[in-house]
Amino acid sequence: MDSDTAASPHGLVVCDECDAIWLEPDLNTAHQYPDVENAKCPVCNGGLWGSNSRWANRDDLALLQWDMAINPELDITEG
Amino acid sequence: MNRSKQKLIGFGILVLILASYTLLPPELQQLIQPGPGVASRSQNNPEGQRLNGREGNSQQLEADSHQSRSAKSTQTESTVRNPTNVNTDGLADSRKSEPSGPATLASSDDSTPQTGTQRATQATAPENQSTSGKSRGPPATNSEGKQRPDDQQLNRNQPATLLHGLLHEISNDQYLSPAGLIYGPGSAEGHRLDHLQRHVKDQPKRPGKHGVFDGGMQGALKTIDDAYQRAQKQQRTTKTVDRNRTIYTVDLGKRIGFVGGQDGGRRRNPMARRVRLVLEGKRVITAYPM
Repeated sequence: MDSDTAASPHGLVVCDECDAIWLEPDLNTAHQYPDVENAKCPVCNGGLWGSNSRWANRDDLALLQWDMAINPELDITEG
Repeated sequence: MNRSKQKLIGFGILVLILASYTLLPPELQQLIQPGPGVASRSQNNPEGQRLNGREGNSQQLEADSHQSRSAKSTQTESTVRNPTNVNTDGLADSRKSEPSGPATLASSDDSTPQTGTQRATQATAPENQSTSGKSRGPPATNSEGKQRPDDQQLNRNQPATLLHGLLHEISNDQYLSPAGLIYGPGSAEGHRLDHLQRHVKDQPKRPGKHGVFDGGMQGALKTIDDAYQRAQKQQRTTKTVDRNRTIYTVDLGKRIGFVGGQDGGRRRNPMARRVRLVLEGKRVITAYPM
């Protein structure tokens, strides 16, 4: 989740292996790859891995109205 | 008359003895007459003293070379550059054959005829004496003499900057593998190597599968290089191109890691022998066993 501008946080689906980016929570839509060394958010052009972005939590997904795409089987159960 | 006859006969016998002695081969002459043998040994003594003297010199040179390794490397450089220097050839041979072990050490020990050449080259390249002097010494000294040029070679070819024993830093934070793959900044972890680090240890709680390389970072890097080389030869490789990314799946035909994560854990972590390799050009995006 990119909160570069506090007024308009936006979400991206990002592969944590290959950095592929989807703009919607649907992997059947087109994806894109960021720059190898200087990955940027395709929405706000901020640093993809910068301090203004973080992995979304359930609340973030609810705020983005992406919670319907959550797959509970993929939940990480932190010990 | 009798006396004069006797004298003549005696003189004749003496002449005969002397003539027969002079006609004898020199080896037999030495056997008959120990005097000349002692003389020759005493003649050899100066040679021994000279050798001792040379050994003394070589020890001195060795001590000098202990004091300055940089000077020693210059010496080796100069000997390598001198094609007429037979000692250098001997050194080069011992260096070449060093991996074959003790037998080579013996052959190096046997290379004493080089000392003859040493004397000839003494005037032109006195620095060589320390190295060649060492090669004639006891085994410990010998191995020292052999290791030093190798150390220098290692220093030249494998600088201390090798990361994980394999990667050359080609520019700031950019690392080149022996097969030509580049690991640079990127990924959520900040660097592709930090991302790869995730795949040398299981993450049992990670949803789905998590490929784990055998052999730590070095093992992972070697396997990835191997996979890349096989992929280039299209050996047991499937290749997908997606925009500027190339995704190889390479079957290495042997265990290279295991499947971890939640799925792998449920299946008792089966072994993995394939590698998924995602590249952009020669830049590694990610790689993991599967």
